Amino acid sequence: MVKSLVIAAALAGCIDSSVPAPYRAEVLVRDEQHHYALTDVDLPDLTSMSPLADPMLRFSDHPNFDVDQLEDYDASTFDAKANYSPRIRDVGGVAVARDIESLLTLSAYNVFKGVFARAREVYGPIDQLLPDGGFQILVEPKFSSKLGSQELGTNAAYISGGQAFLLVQMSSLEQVPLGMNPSVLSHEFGHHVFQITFAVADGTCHVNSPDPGPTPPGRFAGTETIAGFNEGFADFTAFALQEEKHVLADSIPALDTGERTIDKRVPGYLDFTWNTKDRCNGSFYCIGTLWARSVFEMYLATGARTDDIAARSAFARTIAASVGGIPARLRQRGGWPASSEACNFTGIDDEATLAHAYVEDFIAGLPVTLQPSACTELRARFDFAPAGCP
Amino acid sequence: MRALAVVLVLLPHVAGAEPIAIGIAPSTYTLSDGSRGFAPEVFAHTYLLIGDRLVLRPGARIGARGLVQPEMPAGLRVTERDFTTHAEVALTFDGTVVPSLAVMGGLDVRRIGVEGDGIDVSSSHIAHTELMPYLAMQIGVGLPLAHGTWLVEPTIRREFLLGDARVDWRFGLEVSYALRTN
Repeated sequence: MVKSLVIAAALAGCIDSSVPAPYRAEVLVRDEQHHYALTDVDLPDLTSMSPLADPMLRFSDHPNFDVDQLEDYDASTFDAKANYSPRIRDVGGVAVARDIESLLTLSAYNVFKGVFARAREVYGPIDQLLPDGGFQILVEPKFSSKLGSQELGTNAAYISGGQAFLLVQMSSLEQVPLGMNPSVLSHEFGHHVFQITFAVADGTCHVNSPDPGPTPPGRFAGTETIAGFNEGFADFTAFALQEEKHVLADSIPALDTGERTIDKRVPGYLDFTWNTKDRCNGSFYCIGTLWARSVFEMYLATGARTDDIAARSAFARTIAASVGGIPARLRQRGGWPASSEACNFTGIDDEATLAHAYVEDFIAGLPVTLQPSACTELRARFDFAPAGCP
Repeated sequence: MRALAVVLVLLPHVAGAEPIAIGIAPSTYTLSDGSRGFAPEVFAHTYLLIGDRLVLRPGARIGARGLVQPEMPAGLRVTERDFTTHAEVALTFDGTVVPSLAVMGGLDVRRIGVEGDGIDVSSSHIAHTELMPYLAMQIGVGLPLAHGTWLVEPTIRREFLLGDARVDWRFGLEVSYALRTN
């Protein structure tokens, strides 16, 4: 009966979902002027359309994401094979999406590949930039916790330590879908760069560690203050990879208050400093914005143009190298409040103390040629005189 | 639309059956974003007594799906709107309540549309019409009212749409009116 119906459907000229390799697909593409269009593109690295996968990306179909287990997630948590298949039809050898979610995943795949290619160009020397096992992409996961399950929307995210990205349920708040926006996915990739620089150097926090000490592994990366610097690093990565100065401008213009803009020359820029960061509504993101704005001005102070990809690349590698050295320098400082458990961060999340230490240790890791502008810009925004600055 | 209603009413006559009922069946199902969709149907039934109180209930229905779309970005929308035509046969028991077990088959015609606001969709091939075979099983519990002139029947339906595995469960309430009884 079912077979007969399938044959009937085929005769009726309906759905041909088998697309031959090498694959082509209709996806949302952005040009250099930030115009977006649905266009056919080649996907030369894609090894499987159903499920959607290549050696670097494995798409996972609406998996459950247990928020309570977040601290225990590592790369092995997300090593499952791909099981998400976009719903497509074959139009002259081109895979064309049959629903919005399939269009999102095909477009996100194409954007991620572009981000990775640009990341290799920009951050190439960083060890393990792209993990051997690749990344898992969780397509519209269901979030659960002890409090129950819930639907979350309007976001894309990176799971620190998990080598996985989330494409969360789309919403009408988005103009350009976040998961199809190269700047947004570059921002998320920036969290991965922060992970393999700062967080790896900081170490992994184990709740049941028998050896808690004053600065046990993973002590800093989980604090809200460092989470703020992580966001700032991600925004700076979007600049490094895409020349983006406001990562959310294309996708969520309705919520644009100018507080995430890193270039003060952009209309609508909301100015604030550490002492006036109450003007910024982004919580710990605001700390990161202060850092990203400082680093952006440092870049301009080198005399390089923002569209100079070679200059951006060299500068971004320098910044990442300094950030990767911060945990060791933080540890050397000593004097951090003792904790009874390895993952008990109580007492260390004094915003000013930790933020000032981060800023000073960031400057200390820069080449001497960059330190004067770093001192000037960071002092102006963090409202303190960093040690070692003239 | 009036022509379709006439067809629905006349269909049982063509089958040579006697009693006729027509009705509406609003139902709800889960959209891809987890919210609830609304899918109304209109239907016509006839009744064939095949046992002491056992009744075969053939019928036909037309409906729509996609009146409510899942939440999508403002700048890019891919809409899916279905027109459904199904034939069905149910086994029912004529008692104080009227339980039913129905199987359905038919065809869904889906119109996929793409809309851009600030996004160029002029080269897109997404807009398209699809035909998809449909199968379903439904159970219901009918509550006769006004001496059987009206039947109110909450239903649960498991749907299979070949070409769309997202379609699964539908919960509805059928209200039918007997145009003619034995």
